[in-house]
Amino acid sequence: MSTLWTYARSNIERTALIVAALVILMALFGGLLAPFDPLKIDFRSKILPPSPEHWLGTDGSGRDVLSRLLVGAQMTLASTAVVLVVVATFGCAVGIFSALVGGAVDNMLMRLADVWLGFPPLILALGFAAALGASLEAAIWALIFSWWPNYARLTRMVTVDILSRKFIASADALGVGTGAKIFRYILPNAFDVLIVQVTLDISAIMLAISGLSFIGVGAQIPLPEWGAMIADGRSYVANGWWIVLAPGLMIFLTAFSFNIIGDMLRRELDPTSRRR
Amino acid sequence: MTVPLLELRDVTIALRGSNRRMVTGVGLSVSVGEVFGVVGESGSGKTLLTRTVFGLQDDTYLAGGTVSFAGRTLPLDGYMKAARKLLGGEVGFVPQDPYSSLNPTMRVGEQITEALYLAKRMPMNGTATRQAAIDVLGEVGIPEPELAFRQFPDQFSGGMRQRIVFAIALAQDPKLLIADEPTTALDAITQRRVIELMLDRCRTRGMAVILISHNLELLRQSVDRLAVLYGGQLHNIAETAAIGHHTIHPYTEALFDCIPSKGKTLEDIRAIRGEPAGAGFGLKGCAFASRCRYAEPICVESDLPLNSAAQNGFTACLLGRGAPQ
Repeated sequence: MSTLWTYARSNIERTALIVAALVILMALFGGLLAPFDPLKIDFRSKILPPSPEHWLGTDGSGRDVLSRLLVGAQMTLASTAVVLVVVATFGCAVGIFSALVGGAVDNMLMRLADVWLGFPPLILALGFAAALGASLEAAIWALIFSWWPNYARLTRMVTVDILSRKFIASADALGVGTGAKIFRYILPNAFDVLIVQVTLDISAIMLAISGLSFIGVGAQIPLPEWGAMIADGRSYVANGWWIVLAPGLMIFLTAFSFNIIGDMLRRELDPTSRRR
Repeated sequence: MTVPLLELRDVTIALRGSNRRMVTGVGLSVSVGEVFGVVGESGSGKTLLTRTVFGLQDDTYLAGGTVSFAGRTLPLDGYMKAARKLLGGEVGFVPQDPYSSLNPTMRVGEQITEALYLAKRMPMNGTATRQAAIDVLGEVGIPEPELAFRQFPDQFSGGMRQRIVFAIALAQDPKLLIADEPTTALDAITQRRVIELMLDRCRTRGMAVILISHNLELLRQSVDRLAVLYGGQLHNIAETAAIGHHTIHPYTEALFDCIPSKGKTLEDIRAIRGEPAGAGFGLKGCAFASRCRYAEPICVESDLPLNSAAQNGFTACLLGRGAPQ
């Protein structure tokens, strides 16, 4: 963590790190801090503007926006994390396997990944929603299904480069086995490139999940997912701007911060100038 | 000193796919504990020969001949697999370029303990393993080996990295150490020091060494016998003591004649005319004939003789130059 802080070269980057840390804390402990039940409907207090009691006001069904935002952070970020972990693990495995085996298998896997990338995730998500019913799970499955080729291709490219380096030849001469080669030689050397991709993808996947929820094929309306909250609030924009603004701002800030951090990592961990 | 540790007979190496013969009919033997040299210009096949013989080259294969290690002949079927089994224990390599031959993400200590684990099944995190690694770092002349154990490769200079690379190979305690141009990346003074240290440590441990270099002068000062490769052919196996004194193989002589040294006048130094032949010349005629100052028609027409008996004092010269007296 302290290493990350030393990478920051401008106030924007420092702000991005702070915002990202706050959002992660929110996702971890938001549920404990929420002053109200995020799902409790109370039509007597609907569309109340921000006040000392409801800091961010209430939405069209009288639910407390702050509570929904805090609980929603967990929902949005946990979904993003699930997608990323699955996609990165599977993609890396395919990429390393492809690079190590090489030849026709390598060619076949990579062309498969190319074709796979041709499917737009949105259309896939609509398909999944049609098959599984529109839900957050369907959106997560759709993203997992469509995102892995990115990692497979990236990892394969990085691995091929690493395999051509001389320390791999030295490892062969020492009798290093395939497993040790993957975990002690390939992955640590690919880490720099992968961590940058993962950081940039946090915002991309978060936006995709919120986007899918917004158009109605992701999380469904009573759930406090940020994208769903915007979808729910858009009919009240005229007399309840806070209902849309609060989750919108959160999505913007989170995505923006992780993007800045991703760019920062790319600059600092650039493999062409690797240093410790 | 007469027990052969490694023996090659009529070894031929070809490219996968095209089957083009890159190295043809090489016969030589290295005794237990001997320091043996292999000299040749770039592209003469010296690196290809050793790397293929020990199964490290993916794009070539052993197309003919036999390789025996410690009295056991390796099978031609599944040769690569069998040869690779010798690595990490029986045979060690000191790589060419110390700057890129160390894993930048692993501490120096870890790279040595990994080597110890692979060769001797010592537990990677054990205290004894740690101590053995620190000892070997000290043995190759790294100052403050305990500190070096915890450092990353990029915290060392080229000379120090070469010592680390050597320490990794030394840690496995192989019977045969192959050092392929181990010092080309270093300056002349460091080069001499590292080679001397390396050979001294290997002699103490009774390890055989194959020192591969394009630098005849360096080899002449460090090895007793050397094999001369040219165009993928074995041309000469010479006692280094004879070089510069007796009649020797014309190519070995030509190599020696380009080295400036004490007692030589400017007229004594002669560059070899023409361009070097690449590997893959085959056996039809002497690859060096076009550049040889003794060349006669027979040199182009006849097949090159083979050192099938892997004997010492072999000359492939078709004019018989350099044959032992």
